[in-house]
Amino acid sequence: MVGRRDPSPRRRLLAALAVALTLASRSAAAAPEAEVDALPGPPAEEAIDAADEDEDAVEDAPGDHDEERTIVVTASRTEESLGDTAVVTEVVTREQIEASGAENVAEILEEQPGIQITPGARGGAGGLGIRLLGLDPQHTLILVDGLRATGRLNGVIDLTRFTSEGIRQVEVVKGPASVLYGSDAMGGVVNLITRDVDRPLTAEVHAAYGSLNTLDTSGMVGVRRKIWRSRLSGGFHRSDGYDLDPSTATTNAPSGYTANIGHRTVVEPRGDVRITATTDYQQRDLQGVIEEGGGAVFDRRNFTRILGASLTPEILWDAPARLRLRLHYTRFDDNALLDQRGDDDLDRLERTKDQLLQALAQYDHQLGGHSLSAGIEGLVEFLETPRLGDDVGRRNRERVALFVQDEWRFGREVEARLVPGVRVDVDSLFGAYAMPRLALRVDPDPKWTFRASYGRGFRAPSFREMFLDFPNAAVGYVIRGDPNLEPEVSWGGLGGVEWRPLPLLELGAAAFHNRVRNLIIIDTSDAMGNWSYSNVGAAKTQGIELSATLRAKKILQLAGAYTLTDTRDLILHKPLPGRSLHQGSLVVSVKPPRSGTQINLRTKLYGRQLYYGEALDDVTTDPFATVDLRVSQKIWRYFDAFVGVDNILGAGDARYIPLTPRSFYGGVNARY
Amino acid sequence: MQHLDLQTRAPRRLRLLAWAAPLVLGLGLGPLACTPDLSGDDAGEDGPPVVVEDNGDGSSTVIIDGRDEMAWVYFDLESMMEVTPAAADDSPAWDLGVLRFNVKSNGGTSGTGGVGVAVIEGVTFDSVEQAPADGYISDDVSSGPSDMEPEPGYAFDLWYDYDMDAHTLAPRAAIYVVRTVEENYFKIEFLDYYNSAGTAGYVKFRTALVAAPG
Repeated sequence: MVGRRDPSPRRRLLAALAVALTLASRSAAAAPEAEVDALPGPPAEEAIDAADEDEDAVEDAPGDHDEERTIVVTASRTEESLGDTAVVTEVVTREQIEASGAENVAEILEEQPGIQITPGARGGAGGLGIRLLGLDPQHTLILVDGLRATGRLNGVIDLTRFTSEGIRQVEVVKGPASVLYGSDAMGGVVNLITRDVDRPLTAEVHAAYGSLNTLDTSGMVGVRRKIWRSRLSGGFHRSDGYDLDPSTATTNAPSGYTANIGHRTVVEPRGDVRITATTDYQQRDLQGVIEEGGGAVFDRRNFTRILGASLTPEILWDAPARLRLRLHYTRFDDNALLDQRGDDDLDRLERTKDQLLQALAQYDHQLGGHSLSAGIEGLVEFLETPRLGDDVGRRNRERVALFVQDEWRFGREVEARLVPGVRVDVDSLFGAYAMPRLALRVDPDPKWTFRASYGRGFRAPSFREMFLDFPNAAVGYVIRGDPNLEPEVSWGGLGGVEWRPLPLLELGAAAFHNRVRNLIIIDTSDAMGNWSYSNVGAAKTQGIELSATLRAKKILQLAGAYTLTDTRDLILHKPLPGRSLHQGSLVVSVKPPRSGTQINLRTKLYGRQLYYGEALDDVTTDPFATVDLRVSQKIWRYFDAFVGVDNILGAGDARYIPLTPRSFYGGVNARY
Repeated sequence: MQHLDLQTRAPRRLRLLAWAAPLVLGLGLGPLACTPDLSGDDAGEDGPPVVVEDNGDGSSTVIIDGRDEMAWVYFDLESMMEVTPAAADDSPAWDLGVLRFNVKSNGGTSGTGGVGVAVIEGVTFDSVEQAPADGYISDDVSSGPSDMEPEPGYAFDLWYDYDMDAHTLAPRAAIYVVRTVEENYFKIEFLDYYNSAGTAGYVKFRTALVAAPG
């Protein structure tokens, strides 16, 4: 029978790899490992998946540390084992995602050390964005399977729109990565890797219900045959949203639903040819309330549709070369209605249609100690949105980029790697920009790893920043875009050391520094209200990250981290708003043997945050902590039941830190 | 290769599942993909451009709908009515004009009516019973408001404070005494710039006749 437990030796081996994989995660969010006996579960799948792709990896590193079996792609744009990357990559695996109960990428990432999830706009309108290394959401590039995601509203890509069901792992590379990915990768890159199929038949259902009438349901079906494999997954998520301050009309998180369906098929007609096709569709309908100055109250509704399709043919020559071609189309279509209560004067119906076509060719070649990667990337973007300075409200841009990177391994006694790279972007709107990066990794001993990188990052000005024409007639100011804006540029470096004194213990320390100039901000210095976007900002962020991970057998895992993020607005001479200088996290995962029980406790501590505005006095918030607890229990062969509570301490406030209030949930997972 | 053998034994119909997937995507979501009708029309029509309410204590509350970005709304204090002068810059018919947050008076560069405005700070509306003898200023504007930029020079220039954070206007605490075209004196206290729905452009003030300077 298909899908029954398969006792083959290969299976056993793969299952063992699953355990290794689970252990391998670098992320401080400790995860429970896969049970060797519970083969038909996702943990085993992940391992097989990774091991499978590992065959394509350029080279296996010496040594036998667990990390070497987790495959990542973000750091070098080619598959490599996690323990082998020249640039530090943090990974949240499928098991960790499931153990945390996170339903979307915002929830996945908010528990990671050194990462801050931040609201995009008031009233929950802009969704949730990410701050890496203290930089704003527009300075982090969001990729899905290595391809640029679209749909930034006010600089923020809403991370809640990426639901967990289709995600295999989330990779985070901190520090400038424009050398490989171009615009936006100043603070770093978040790459969402979607799930693949590795077993003849797999099926999964997830259902959870909790506070705020939150319902999360999702399912996945996968089939794998000799030369092809295919996955279909979908989900429906809804919530009532919340309002942390009932004395105002403004809500803090919208109510509504997100429904999505995704598909991925891989065909390997020959051993050296692989064709991957993906399609995704998502529909969201979110509603909230915003109160604006003057007392106007708006019912806000965003109806959003996102469609994505990609085709990736790859030619995998035995060695030492590989050619990969990729074609990707994504379309983001948002209809936003602001309906003023009691009047029609200020009603606004705005449609934003953002289409992105990406084409990529990448060639990898190994030559002695050198692993060379070179590629060319073309990008065409069409944006239609009101207020773009002409009647049509339609703009487009084209960009061509060339990148080349060499990973040079040298040294006998002490293994070392030097990775120089450069990328040149030529954009139809602002010309050419070159972004170099140099990365170095030294492994003087199997217990020690030193890594450092320094490079340039940039962010292309958005259409809005270049072409906006927004007269606020109600008050009498005008905000205009500036077609002559230059990209924001940064120089940044990251260096760190990892020490594995015991097989169970891993310690890490890293330091980072970023200096950003040409920051685009709205210049409001004109007293007459003629304001415009301008390259007048400058900022720096620097800090340290310390982490410790302890894994006691498969029973207990402890991960703690501390981050110091010192930020400075170099024009205003004060810290950037909303950043905590001190941040800490602690994850405890307990899994008593043979009980089928798994307990996860996650804590994150934030120090004081400073907030200010154009005419606002400085406000400093109190330190706060978020604590989440989740317990799951295997109840029958294919079923897990779970309960949890998020934000146990009820941290947050309506104005500055609009966290989801304390909420309870419970549900069931079924896997075949 | 036990693993692969197992795969080939799988029912053939399962293949359908994979190939049908994109089809399901296309067809299954077709109905979902329709955009709902996003409309925000509220019932009711715009009221008259000027609403006057008698407060019963000799004062009146006036709301002038100045939302139009191009056309001034003219008001006569004696009749408490909107007037539509043919040529406002040379007409005795009006005392005050409103265009968005700009409030002009029929004097100086704005008109030939000789209207003057005196600003009294630190007093309440009720305490002002007699017009001051001097301190009257009139509009001195080099050009008319254009492109919605605030144009300084009106006698009423400083009737509001601007909140740079919320981007809202709020009336300043001051009492204005207006010497009208007919040389009557009215005291004015600005109350609001927003209607009950929060729409900007509704200049609201309280006014009452006061004694001429002794």
